[in-house]
Amino acid sequence: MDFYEFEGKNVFRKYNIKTSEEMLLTSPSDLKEFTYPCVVKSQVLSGKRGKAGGIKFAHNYEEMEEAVKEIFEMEVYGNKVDAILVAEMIDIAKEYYLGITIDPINKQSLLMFSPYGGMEIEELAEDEPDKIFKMNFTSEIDKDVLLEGIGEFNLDENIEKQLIEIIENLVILFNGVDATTVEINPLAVDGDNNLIAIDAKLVIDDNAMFRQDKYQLIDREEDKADGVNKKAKDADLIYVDLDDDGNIGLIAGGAGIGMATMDTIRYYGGKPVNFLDLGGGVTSEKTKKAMELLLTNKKVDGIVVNIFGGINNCEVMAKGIKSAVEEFGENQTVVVKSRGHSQEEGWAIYEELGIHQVKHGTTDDAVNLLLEKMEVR
Amino acid sequence: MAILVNNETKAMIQGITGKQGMYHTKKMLEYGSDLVAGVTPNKGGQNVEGVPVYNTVKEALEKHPEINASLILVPAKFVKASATEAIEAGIKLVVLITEFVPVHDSMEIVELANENGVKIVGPNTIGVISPGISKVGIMPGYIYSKGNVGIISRSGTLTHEMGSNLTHNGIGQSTCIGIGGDPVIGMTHREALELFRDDEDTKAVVLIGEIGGVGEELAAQYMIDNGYTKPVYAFIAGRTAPEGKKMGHAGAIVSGNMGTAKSKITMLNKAGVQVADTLGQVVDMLKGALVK
Repeated sequence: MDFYEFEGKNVFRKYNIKTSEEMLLTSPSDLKEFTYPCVVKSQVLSGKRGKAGGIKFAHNYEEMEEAVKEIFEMEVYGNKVDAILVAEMIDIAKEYYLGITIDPINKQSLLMFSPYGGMEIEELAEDEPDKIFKMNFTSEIDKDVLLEGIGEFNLDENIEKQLIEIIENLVILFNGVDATTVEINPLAVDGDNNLIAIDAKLVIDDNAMFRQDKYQLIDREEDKADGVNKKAKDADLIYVDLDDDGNIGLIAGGAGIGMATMDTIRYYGGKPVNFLDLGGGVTSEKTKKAMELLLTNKKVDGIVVNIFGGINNCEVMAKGIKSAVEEFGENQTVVVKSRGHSQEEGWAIYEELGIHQVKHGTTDDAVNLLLEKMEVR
Repeated sequence: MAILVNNETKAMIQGITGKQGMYHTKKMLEYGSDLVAGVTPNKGGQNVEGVPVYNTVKEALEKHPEINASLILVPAKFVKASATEAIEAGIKLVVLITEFVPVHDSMEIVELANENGVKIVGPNTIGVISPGISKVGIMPGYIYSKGNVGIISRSGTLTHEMGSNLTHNGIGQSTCIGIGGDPVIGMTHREALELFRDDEDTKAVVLIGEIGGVGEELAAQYMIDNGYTKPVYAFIAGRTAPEGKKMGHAGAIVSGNMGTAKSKITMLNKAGVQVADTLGQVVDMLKGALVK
C-alpha cells in the first residue's frame, strides 16, 4: 500500500519525526487562511511532482487559492489530484536524503543516508555511490556502525545528534508499521539548524495489512476503478490490461505461467488483451468469474486457459469454466491446458464441452493451437 | 542422490489438520514421502491419514527424533511462529508453502535460519520434489519423473510446466525446487545452483526466472566468478510485461532498470547460459544437449 505524502507524515509525527506545519485539502472549499509564503503540493503517488507542475508556491491568500484551484484541475503524470497539502515554506539551508528499504540480496533491511539530498537516490547511487552511507540491519540497528558511518560526513554536531535520533525513530517506524520503503527526501536543515521532513514516501507491505489496518486513508484510485478492473478486484483476481488492440484473453493459474503465456502469445504473433492470475485456493466460482470477465469482453475472440492443479484442483476449475462457457460463451475459441491434481476429471469436463485441449504439450503448443483455430474460424 | 530431499528425508507437516494440510498429507503419502508426524496446536492426539498429530514441534521430535524436514502450511500470520518453532527445534530443512507472508517476517525467519544452519525454501513456493524418491511440497507428483535434470524456479506453475514438459518428452529430473516468488526468500537461484553442482545425479540444470529482483543476475554472476561445470538452460518469464505493473508475484515488478528481463538474459548469456525464448524451446535445448 502506497501512502500519500500527508498520510506518511501523519505516521512520521506519531514516531516523533518532525514535519512542517501543514493543512490538508480534499476540495477547494477546505481552504482557510495559512501562513505565507507557503507551498501547495498535489498529493499523488508519483515522484517528481514539481517538474510536472504539481507543486506551486504562494505568498498570499489569493495566490494560494489560485494554486489550489489549478492543481485540483490538473493531472500529475496521468493521476487525478484528490488531495492537496499546503505546507509552510521552510527556509532550507541544506537537503539530506534518508531512506530505508528491503534489500532482497542480503535479505535484510537497508538504511541509506546521504547529505546530498533533493535528487533521486537512484541517480545519486549511480553517479556518486560513495556519497551514500548504507547499512543493513534486521530488527535493530547497530548504533556503533551507524555513528561511525554518519561520522564520515563530518556534519555539524547538533545536526548529527538530531539525525541519529531521526534514524533511530525511522527504524522503529519501519519495523513497527511493516514498511517496505520509507523515504524522507529531502530531510531539510532549516534556518534554525533543525532537521525537518519536507516530504514523505511510505509504502506498507500489503501482506501485513492484517496487522496494520489502523490508518485513516483516503480512497485509492484503484478502489474507484470501474468496469473489468473493479470486477476482477472484487473477485480477488489479479488482472492487468495489456494490448488495446489485442483479441486474446488469458487465464493463468499462477503468476509465472501467466507471464510466460503472455510472452508466448506475443512471441507467436498474437496480441493479449489481458493478464489474469487466478492465484491459489481457487474455487469453481472464482474460475467462473474469471472466465466470465473474458467471455463478456467484446474485444476477446480467443481465450487460452493455462492452469495447474498444484495448490488448486483441475476438476474444481473445470467446473467453473464449464459453467461460464454455458452461460456466457458465444463463439469464442477456447483452448485449455490443464494438468495436475484431478486432471483426468478436468479433461473429461472439457471434452464434454467440446473445448480444444492440450493435455501433455507445452504452453507453446496451447498458444499455437489457439492461433491456428482462431485463423480457421 | 538428488538434493535437499532424498530417501533419508523424514518429514512433518505444520498445519496438518487444516484443509490444505489434510489434502497434502494424503498426496505426500501417496507419493511415497516418509511423512512421520504433523503439528497443530491443541490438536495433539489426533491423526491425519494415520499420521500422528502433536501440539508442538518439540513433542513431535520427542516421539520422532528422526524428523529432518518440515513443510509449513499454516496461514500467513502464523508462519513466523511456526518457522521459528521448527528452526529452534533443530529441523534442518524448512519449506514454507504459504503465500502472502509479511516480508518483515520472512527477513526474521531467514536470519534465524542462517544463525542455526537451517535451509529455508520459500515462502510462497510449491516446495521440493526429487521425483521417484520423495517430495516435501504440494506439487502433483506424477507430472514429474526421475532423471538427471535439476529445475530451479521462482514460480510454482512454471516448475510444474517445465517438469511435465520434460517428463512428456522422456527427460527425467533429479530434483525440482520452487524457490518462491517473494522478494525475500530463503534459498536463492544461486544457492540451488551450488547444490546441483555437487550432485552427481544432476547432469544439467534448468533455471527459471521472472522479472523483478536480482536473483537471476546474482546466479549468473556466481557462474561467471566460479565457473559452472554443468550445462544450464534458462527461461525468464515476463519479458513483455508492462513496466510498473505487479504481475501477481510480489517480487515480479519492473521499475526503472531494476530486474528487467533484458538485464537477466544479458547476464545469463555472459555466464554461458542459453536462454530460451519460450518454454517449448527449453525442451528442445535439453533434447539436443542430452543426445550429445
